[in-house]
Amino acid sequence: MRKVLLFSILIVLIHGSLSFGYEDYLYKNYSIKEMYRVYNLLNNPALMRSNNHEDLMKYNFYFGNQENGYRRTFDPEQIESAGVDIFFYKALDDKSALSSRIIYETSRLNNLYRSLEKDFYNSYFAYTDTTTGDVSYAGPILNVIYYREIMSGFSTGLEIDYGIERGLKDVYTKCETVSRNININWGLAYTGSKGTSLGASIRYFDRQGTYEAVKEITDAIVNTYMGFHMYYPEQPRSTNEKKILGKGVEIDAQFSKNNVFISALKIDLMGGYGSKENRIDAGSSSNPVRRGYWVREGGFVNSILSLGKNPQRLGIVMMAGTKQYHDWAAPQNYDVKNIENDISDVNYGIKMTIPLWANNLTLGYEAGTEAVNYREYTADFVFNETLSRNRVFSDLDIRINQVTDMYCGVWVSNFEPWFYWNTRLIQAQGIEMGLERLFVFGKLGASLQMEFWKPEDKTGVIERFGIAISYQK
Amino acid sequence: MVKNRLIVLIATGIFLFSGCFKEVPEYEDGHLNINITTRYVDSRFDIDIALDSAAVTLKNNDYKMPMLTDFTDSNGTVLFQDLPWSEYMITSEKEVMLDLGDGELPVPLFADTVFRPDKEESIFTLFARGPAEPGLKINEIYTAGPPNNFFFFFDQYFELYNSSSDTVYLDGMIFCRMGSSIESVTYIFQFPGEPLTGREYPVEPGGFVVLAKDAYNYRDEIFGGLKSVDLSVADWEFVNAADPGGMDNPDVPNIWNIKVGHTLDFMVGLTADALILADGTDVNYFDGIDIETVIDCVEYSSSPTHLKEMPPELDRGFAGIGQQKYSGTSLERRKAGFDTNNSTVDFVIIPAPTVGYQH
Repeated sequence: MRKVLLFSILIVLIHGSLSFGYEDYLYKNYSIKEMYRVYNLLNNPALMRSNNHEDLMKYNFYFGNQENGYRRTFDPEQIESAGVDIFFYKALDDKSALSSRIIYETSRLNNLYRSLEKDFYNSYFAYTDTTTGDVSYAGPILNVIYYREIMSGFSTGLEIDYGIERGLKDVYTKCETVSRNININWGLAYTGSKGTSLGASIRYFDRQGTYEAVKEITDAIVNTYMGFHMYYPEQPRSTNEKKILGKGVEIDAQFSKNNVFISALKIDLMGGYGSKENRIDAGSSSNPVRRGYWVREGGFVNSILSLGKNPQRLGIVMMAGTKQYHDWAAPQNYDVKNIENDISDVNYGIKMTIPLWANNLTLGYEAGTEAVNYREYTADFVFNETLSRNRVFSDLDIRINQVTDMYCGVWVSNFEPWFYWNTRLIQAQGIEMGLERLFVFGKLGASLQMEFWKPEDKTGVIERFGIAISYQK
Repeated sequence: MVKNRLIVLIATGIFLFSGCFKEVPEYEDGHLNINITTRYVDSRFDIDIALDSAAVTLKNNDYKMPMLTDFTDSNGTVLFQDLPWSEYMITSEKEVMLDLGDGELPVPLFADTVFRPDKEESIFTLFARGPAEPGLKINEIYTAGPPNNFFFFFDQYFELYNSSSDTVYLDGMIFCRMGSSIESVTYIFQFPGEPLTGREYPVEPGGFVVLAKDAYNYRDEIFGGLKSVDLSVADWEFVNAADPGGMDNPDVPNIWNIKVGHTLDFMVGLTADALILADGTDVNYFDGIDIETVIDCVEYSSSPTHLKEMPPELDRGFAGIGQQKYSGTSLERRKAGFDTNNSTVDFVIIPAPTVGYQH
């Protein structure tokens, strides 16, 4: 029950209110609060079966709204989003299973100042024009995972993820964006009879993005940023275009063992190493020239220790992990680096779940530090800081009766943000609630999520709100 | 056993995979040093001097950043440090007292180059040039169109200026819109009269001549007294007898199309094209225009990456880099008749056209 409700809520959180463009990140962020699906943690489709899913078909409808009462320069004033998510899982036979997922999301970024990016701060070569406008995005994401046991103890899995999204700005330069991603993840795993799993997976991802700004009375005037402080003023043209060609590879390895030293202790270890490269071309549509490229390389190690026969009911889970990566960017045709960014992130946390009659109470704490050494050589800018973050949370699963479950969660957090937030500390609080009831035709659920971000020394609050309705049969 | 195989497989994969990554560039941006020495060399008068106290200006062609200006020392050298790696337009100018055969006179010298770095410490010499021969010059080019939202650009005109101390005659001269090289003529229009020998249409020293596409008062008739220009005061008007809808102001003399089969008026690119004024002794346009007959040539383009189409002997640069269409701006020589055969240096973008006078 809890798993299903969280599933709904996270969809709102990840796809709705945050409204990030569809992009394959090199490696995922792990949080002890949200770690609820083993497959998601291990990132190896050959381990999909370890979720112990029943066959299911689930529909989610969600809506998110974010009011940026405080915002960075190139953030929108408001983000509205809505979508539908259809998830399907079926065991084809004793040895194989198939899951698929279709998401269609539409979002609208209102009063977005100049940025032609969905997230200006997620790109070293962001594209801007000269107007403030509303930008609408829409597109589907398709995900298919096929799992098969190839011989006793050995399994393989293949995941294909495909997404395409289209955006359109409502005022000059009426920039149209099209973003296409494909992600292929293939894994092998060995599961021993004593609860030991060993796996390896390789993921290839490929991205193409096109931005097309057009003239209206006057030529399209656009700039290509290089970092956050310098930009290249593109030649005004009737059509100005930017293209992103990205690709990357990530290799991951996983190890999991039950009954370590004592019978109720389980350990999960995972690590990976990867690289991705983005090439940016800009100029006229007939003759685009290379504006630059940037590369990310790095790896991560993560460990989870679970104590308890059923940690979701009674137990303690501890997590510690680190990821280290190095970004660098180079402009045009010069063999120099104009941006470098070294990030060393450490994350750790603990949570404890105890039963309260038929209910479960979880209390947890997680913290981390992010050591950032960001340099823009062209603009002579350095941001060298170690940023800390903390979060305490409490979740309560309430079993109202045999067919109705409820979930409540609260969390309080603070974190030190990057320089472009122009504040020293942001404090955040969140509330999550969910309700699910079993009917003869299936399960109906609803969930609600609210978040408030407040910069310590500034006025204005970021408010996030999301609701989701789910149906499962 | 299985575990060992997997470990070997993973280790091999990581090893092979790590070799695929791109190499990080050796240099960091922002530490480019350019050491420039400015000199003027003229073997005709046995002159070879370093230009001290000369203003040297760096304009970054890539990034939006302010222009940098510094002055050379007594050795004619100036050092710019900690610059971004980028393409720079480097210009220098200085007026010096030189004896060019008629005693010491103030002579304006100019130098320019486009610089692309290939190493962190760059040293080079910038050679200045003296002014080109005075004479009839294409002084102003107004083609970008006034600010409007209906793609109006028909108020184009060109201004000539006589920078010499003698009267020159327009008789039989040709005014051409060029194609992709000097061997390709798109339009060719000719003044009446006999080339070289005709004396019907004089231009006095310091005189301006306005050549309008159509001699019409666009400002009052189309734009109600705002924007655009009044070309009814033009000195000449381009007319094509094969253009049935073409305008012909009876009060203004005509420059006639002489290209067979051409049915348009003299309309040129708004922010990119090449123009030639020639003496009219070569009107066989099938093989282009003989370079010896060219009086003045200007190539303009708003794009800094536009490839050069005219020969460097006629024009080494482009006027109008950065000019926008429908901006109401015009291209004019920085001083009337100022000519170093490099339109990048010679021309500036002015906010509004100046019909028959210098800005």
